[in-house]
Amino acid sequence: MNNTLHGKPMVWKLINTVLLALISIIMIAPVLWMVSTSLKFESEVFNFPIQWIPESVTWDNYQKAFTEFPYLNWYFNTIRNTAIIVFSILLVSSMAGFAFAKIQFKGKNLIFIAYIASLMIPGEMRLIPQFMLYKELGLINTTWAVVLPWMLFVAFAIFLMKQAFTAVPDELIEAAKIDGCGYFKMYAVITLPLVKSTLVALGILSFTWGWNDYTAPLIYIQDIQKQVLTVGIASFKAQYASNYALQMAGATMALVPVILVYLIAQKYFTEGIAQSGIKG
Amino acid sequence: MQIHRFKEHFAGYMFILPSLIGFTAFMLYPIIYSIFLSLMDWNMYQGFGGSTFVGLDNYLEVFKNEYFMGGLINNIKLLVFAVPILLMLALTLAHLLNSQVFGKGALRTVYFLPYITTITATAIVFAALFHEELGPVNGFLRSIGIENAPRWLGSVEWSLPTISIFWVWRNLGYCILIFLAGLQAISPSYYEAAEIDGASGIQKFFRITMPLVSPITFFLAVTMAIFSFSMFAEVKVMTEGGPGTSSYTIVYHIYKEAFERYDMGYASAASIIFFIIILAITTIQWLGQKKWVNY
Repeated sequence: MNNTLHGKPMVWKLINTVLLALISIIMIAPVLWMVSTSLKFESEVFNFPIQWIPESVTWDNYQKAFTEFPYLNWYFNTIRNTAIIVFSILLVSSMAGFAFAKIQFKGKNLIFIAYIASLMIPGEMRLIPQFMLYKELGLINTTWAVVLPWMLFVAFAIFLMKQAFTAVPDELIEAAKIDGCGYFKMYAVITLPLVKSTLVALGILSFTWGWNDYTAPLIYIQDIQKQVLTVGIASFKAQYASNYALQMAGATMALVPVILVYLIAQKYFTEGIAQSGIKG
Repeated sequence: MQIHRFKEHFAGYMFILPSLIGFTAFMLYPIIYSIFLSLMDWNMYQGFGGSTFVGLDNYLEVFKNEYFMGGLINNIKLLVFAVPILLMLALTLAHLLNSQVFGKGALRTVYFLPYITTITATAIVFAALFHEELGPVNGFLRSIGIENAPRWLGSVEWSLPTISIFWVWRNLGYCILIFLAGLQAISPSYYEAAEIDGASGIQKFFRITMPLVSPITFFLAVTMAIFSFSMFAEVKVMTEGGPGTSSYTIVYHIYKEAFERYDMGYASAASIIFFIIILAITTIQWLGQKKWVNY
């Protein structure tokens, strides 16, 4: 914007950069502190000024997380739940999105409006009746209690996929129909590859939803062995309130996978998020 | 032709079947069941047989409950303080990021990072950072000569603000990203015209940028208002609502009543009132979109 002014833009650009870089340090500092603290001996955790690079590095905290807690189980459960959630969100919402965009059937608009209206229902309101339902069905303390709602109905994901399929030209569908192509083939072979980028964006968003899911496992899973990371590491704080190095090791291991996925696929992240903003 | 049509309808239903089951079981049924429960004095151990219909009693009790009211007041405080601060910071930073800057991509990556982090993991990090005696934050404050540093999560006055700091930190990146998308959509010709007229940077920000991103500001204000009203994990992990009820939120209260005291009737009534509040915010969005937004 300031390109037209002489001399000034360069200075402004520098000032801007320095300012933003300083603030970005505040943004990232908690995460760096977490990693650095997880490698320290407890006695050195709160030394001030902060030693960002520990004087003596120890892996004890990490080891302790695995021996004192069923951390490996939590990891496994989290990975399994996340995998189930990502896969089924992609499948279920792309199928529904395809139908809403490209198939004519009775009541279609009404059902879609109902789906969209459900975006207004806060998830918190559904916890109690879901708990009662799971109790009736004997699903308390099973993975199903956590993953089923994600597997079957995520309104936002259906909305996103419908938008993507709508952009696929109708001529393609018509041509396929004339060739005698069935609806399933139309969906899976012809149109699905065309919405690949939305699928990737949605897949990555779903990954964070699944990985960071907290309230449902907190409420529906009571057996600590069957728990997931989000709830597990929160229990570190309750059980080892004053062992901060241990807490940080637990937190670091829970965060590393999401951060890695984010760094690798951030382009899709930002695309997915930006699309979510456009709905407003 | 008739068969053809039937096939199309049938295919349509088959494709939406899983989501229709999910919608019925995890959306429709819970809503209806919530309303039913909210009218009952529900006995968790004996089920329907041991429960009695109490009409609107649960609703009246909710408004008399000091924990609920405490939570409501805290939620309103978050709405009035945390949400505007979040939006102002986000717009300022988005504006800076959108202007001439080195390493734009890297900066954006860092700003957005907190948003994808697991709440419980970063919540325990913040709880440690803001530790009242040993934490680095107070270490820093003492080092610059502030003797009576706040006791953060350990004090009645500071527990909610501390949670808000964490909440703002975590959601800032999301708001920046949405604002950035809006800023990038503003045609540079507006700024060029203003420059010819000799407008300063600040004038340009208030006269061009602010009005033109107002739809986005509005969208974010509503989204974040709903988000702040739904605050739960932060409270559960960082303070358990304490000290006292100083950091209670509505959802935390509902959680306690439902899953620690198993008072399902009362908790359902509270959650329906919670839903009505959210609905009111959404309605304001609907109505306001036309009125308050200047394009």
